[in-house]
Amino acid sequence: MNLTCASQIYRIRSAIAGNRLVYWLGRVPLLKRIFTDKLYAATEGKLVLSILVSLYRGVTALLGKAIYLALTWLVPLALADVKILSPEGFSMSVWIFFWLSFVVGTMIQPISVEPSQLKYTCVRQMGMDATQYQTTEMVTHHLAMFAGFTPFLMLWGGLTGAGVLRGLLLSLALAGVRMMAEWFHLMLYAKFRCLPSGKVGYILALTVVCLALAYLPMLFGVIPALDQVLLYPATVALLFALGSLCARAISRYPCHYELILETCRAEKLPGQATVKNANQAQFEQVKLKDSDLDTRVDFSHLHGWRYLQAVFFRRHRRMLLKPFFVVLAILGGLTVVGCVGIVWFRLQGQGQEMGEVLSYVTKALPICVFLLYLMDNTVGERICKAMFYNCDLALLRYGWYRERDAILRNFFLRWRMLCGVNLMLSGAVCGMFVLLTFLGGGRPPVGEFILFLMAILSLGVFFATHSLGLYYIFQPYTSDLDTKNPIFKLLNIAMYAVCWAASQIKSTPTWFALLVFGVTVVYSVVMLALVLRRAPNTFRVK
Amino acid sequence: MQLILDQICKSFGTKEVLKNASFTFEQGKIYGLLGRNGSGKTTLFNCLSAEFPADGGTVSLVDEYGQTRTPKQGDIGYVLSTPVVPEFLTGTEFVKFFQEISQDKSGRTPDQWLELVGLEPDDRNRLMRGYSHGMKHKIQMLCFLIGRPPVILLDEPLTSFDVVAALEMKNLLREMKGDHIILFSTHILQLAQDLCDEIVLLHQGELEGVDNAKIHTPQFESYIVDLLTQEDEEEVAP
Repeated sequence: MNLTCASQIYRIRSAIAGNRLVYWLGRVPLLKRIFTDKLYAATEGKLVLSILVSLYRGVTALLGKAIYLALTWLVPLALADVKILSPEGFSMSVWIFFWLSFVVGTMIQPISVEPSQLKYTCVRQMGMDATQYQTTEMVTHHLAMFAGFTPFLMLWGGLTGAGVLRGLLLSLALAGVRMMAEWFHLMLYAKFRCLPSGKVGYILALTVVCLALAYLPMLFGVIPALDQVLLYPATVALLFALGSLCARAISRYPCHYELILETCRAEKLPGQATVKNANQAQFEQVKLKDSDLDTRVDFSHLHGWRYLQAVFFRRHRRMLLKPFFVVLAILGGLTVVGCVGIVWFRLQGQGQEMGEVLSYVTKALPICVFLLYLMDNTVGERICKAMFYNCDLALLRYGWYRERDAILRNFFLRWRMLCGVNLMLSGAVCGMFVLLTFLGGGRPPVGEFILFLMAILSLGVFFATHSLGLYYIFQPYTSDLDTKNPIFKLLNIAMYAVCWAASQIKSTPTWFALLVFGVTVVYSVVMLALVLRRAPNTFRVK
Repeated sequence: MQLILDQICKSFGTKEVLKNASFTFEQGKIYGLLGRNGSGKTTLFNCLSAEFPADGGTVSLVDEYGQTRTPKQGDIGYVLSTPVVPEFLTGTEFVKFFQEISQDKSGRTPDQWLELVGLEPDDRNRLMRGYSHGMKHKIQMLCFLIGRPPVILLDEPLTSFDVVAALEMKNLLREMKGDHIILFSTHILQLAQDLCDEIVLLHQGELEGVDNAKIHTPQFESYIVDLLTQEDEEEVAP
């Protein structure tokens, strides 16, 4: 291990951690003025900060080891009714520790092949010697692990009566095996270009097998005396000596740089890749497929914005129509089931009772509010994402597309289209209720029933206005496909909460339909007014 | 027509990128905007095209009758260094749509427009998501030929073109310049010399015109380098 290299790595780690902290704190509204860009130059400050962070990490790492040992040893031993503080308890814990830490821990987490931001920065971006980096990081990492485990293992040895020394021997043996595992993975890469520790199947299989081997003997009351062999001083000396030889071989390993090039690619790094993939994933559903792009349909009779929207909706019909047909199929199925039920009740001579029940069909409005929310919101949210990803992300870069008239004309064309889709769904729901009510002999009050149907239809317009209005007022997506606006998220959650709360109403008052109708009309009007006022300023790519 | 920038300021955090940048650009000329990396060329374009607002200062257009007005969104066309087009449309569909919304009175059909910028017939009815960088650039340029915005901003427009496409584009810009104020940023001095009628430096947040007599002289490069490094040296000097 090279001390200069260790110091350099520590400084780079400090700088990365410090810069991240300044960046994130600088984004908090109240702290913006304190955490300005000037702080990036405070190298010494970041070093002090890093020392504090290191101390904190040291303490949490120690705590982590304690929690790990408590969870993997104490809880299972207590459940298995093994006397914990006894030499048997120690033997059992060594057996468990062997499979979980000596095998699983070393074989799925070799740090030499692990992709990391620090490794990427030091070796690939700053040109640090790969061998020096790898050996330094390996030694410091495993020394820290050794220092973290040793006090607890010694304490455990002392408490169980096995002896403090045996605890130390266990920790030394683990350190040796860890270095051997690192060497094993490096050799696998050198000989076969194989990196098993990155494969989910390998990790899963190894974990399951080792967990089974660790805990199954306990279920059968068997206490394997592995400690007798593993902690025999000669065994420990052998393991430690082999570990040292492996460390020496690692320092002479010829493929460190190749390995880092292979494992540390920008897209593989935790953090960067995760954010990018998560951002991409939320638009995965709205990506166009080749089959969507049917250029044969002739829209030449349409002009301007109408033409643009007609082509847009035509090429996104899969996204619109698929959920639409799914919902229609469900409604159709429910109607058929309802009709069969009606026939069955009539055959049972209970037609009159059923007619009476169906006379109260308007009481189903609260649950309809929630179901229509689920139906319409799925379509609305998806189409808004498609509008952004496939159309607005590009066109909003043109000045003419951001003009007030253009934004509002587009909005109303899209709103009409979305209202049309939602009204067809609401119409299908109304059709189902009308058919079942009259087939079943229900006789709800006519005025109440008409209001009920109008409320359902108005909900279609309401949800279309809600989805599209929020999109235009807040335009929450960034050019990196991130969703930035917390108010947008909050309002969507609030809408879900209100609709869900409506579905929980048990005893529906007769004026509920009027309330729903009124609220939907008022909300839609307010939302449209807000779009007219705000969208020309806010409908931008962030 | 003139585009007048008066005291434009823009800061990001504590960094002042534009410091009272002022200049008057005139119709019929191609202006080359030169500056060092990070000098604020793209920021200036973003402020002019209202991608984001300037912190201070005014931008105004003066027409041939001397009437001054604030430019509308459609008055300033901005070609990004990475061109973006709506990928769900074909080239022909996009041009037809754009001709209609911009009320194109040229009498040209979409095909004729696309031919003008050299887009092959086979490519015109392909979806633009399969277009190359250069083809997307041509489509963006076509928007300005059709829409005829008074001001056209081009952010490093020719760097990704092959030699043939670059020549076509240069000729196109020369043909267009009579009706527009064209301002483009570049790092390539040879291109600036070849294409521009005037060169403007953006240095230390301020705009400064370059002596026209020097543009076509052999000393032009060293002259520009001197100008762009002059104040840095002054700052370093005790």
